[in-house]
Amino acid sequence: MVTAKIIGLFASIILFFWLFVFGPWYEAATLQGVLLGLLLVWNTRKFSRADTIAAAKFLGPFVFMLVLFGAIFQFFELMGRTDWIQDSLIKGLVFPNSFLFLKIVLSYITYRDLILFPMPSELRTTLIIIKAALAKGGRALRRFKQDIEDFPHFHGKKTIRVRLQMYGSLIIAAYMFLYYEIETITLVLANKQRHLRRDT
Amino acid sequence: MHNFSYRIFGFNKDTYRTMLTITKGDHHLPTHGLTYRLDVDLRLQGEKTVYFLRGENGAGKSSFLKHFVVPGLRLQSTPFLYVGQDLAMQVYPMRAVLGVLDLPRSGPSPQETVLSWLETGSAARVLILDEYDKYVAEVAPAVEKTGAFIETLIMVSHTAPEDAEQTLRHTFSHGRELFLHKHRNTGTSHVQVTERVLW
Repeated sequence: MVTAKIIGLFASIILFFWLFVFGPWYEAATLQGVLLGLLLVWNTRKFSRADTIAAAKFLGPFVFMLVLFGAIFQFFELMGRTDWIQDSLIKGLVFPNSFLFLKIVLSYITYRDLILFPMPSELRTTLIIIKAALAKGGRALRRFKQDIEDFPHFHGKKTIRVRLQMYGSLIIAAYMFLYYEIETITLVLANKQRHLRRDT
Repeated sequence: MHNFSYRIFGFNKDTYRTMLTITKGDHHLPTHGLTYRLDVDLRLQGEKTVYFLRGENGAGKSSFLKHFVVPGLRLQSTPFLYVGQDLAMQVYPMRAVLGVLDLPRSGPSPQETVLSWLETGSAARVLILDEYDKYVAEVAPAVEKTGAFIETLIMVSHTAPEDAEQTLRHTFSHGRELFLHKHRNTGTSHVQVTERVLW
């Protein structure tokens, strides 16, 4: 059952990428737009409205940069092409669609699935650690962002320099947190594997 | 953010005297099953005032800070320092900010980190310490580091109030108690918020 579920989930990912990223519907802008809408609704139902807003805030700057560079390249008609803006707009839909689809589909894989799915023990441990660290990291990132924004030194300043300092602080805080968490989770998991007896 | 709207905060013309006004009435926090009841407007004063936020365990002290006081300060752009109960988590952004800005750090421990962070937040006018003494033995060093620039201190503490009061009387001209009394009803609990002048 677990094997079928995991294979099904990965098959859906392959199908998604085959159809919407590398395949026939890549350039179907209307379809990509509708898909984005559906994925946002799915994400809200699966997680929460706050999570969807956070995902939009995370993806927004990337999409904006994509479109901005597309517009600049279009203006200069770089490499003689005149379809830069159209191309970047499609990428601006494909990128969040791929991110959201992976995020949602992978969230259906539970710890129980990882334990029951036949795979080498070391790989299982690594996957459990990655899943646990990512789950904690996602929550921590939102919290850290707010803490950094509240720091009085940054108060009321919106210059590029300050924004870079804030993003730099956020990345370093998240890195330190994940480093510590991964170490702790690895130790706890190793300890459980060493001392817990399996009932057969 | 829960039940957070403009109408629950008054607008302060003189933020030096009044840091934040939370208007009288019932303020709901549905996710926590709590309704805070204020019979009069709660005006959190500046001018070197310390507030002791008290009430039994589970009365909603931290939630009151997190969902009403902090959002209110953000809304009116009052710079503040907030040390929550989860200091072990908060030290990561604190260390990162101190490192990125190359600000002075007194040491690597969480206690030293938080003191350095407090000291460098000199633009802040409000300091919120939520069960700070759970992690750090004494509140006095934090008050010493911030006393020069903080106008309002709000603290939740479970240590003997007399000890903390004695330390804080030297730095703060005014002391007040905010007492949260929880009445349990079916469904939502009502929390009565009352203010008392201590000195």
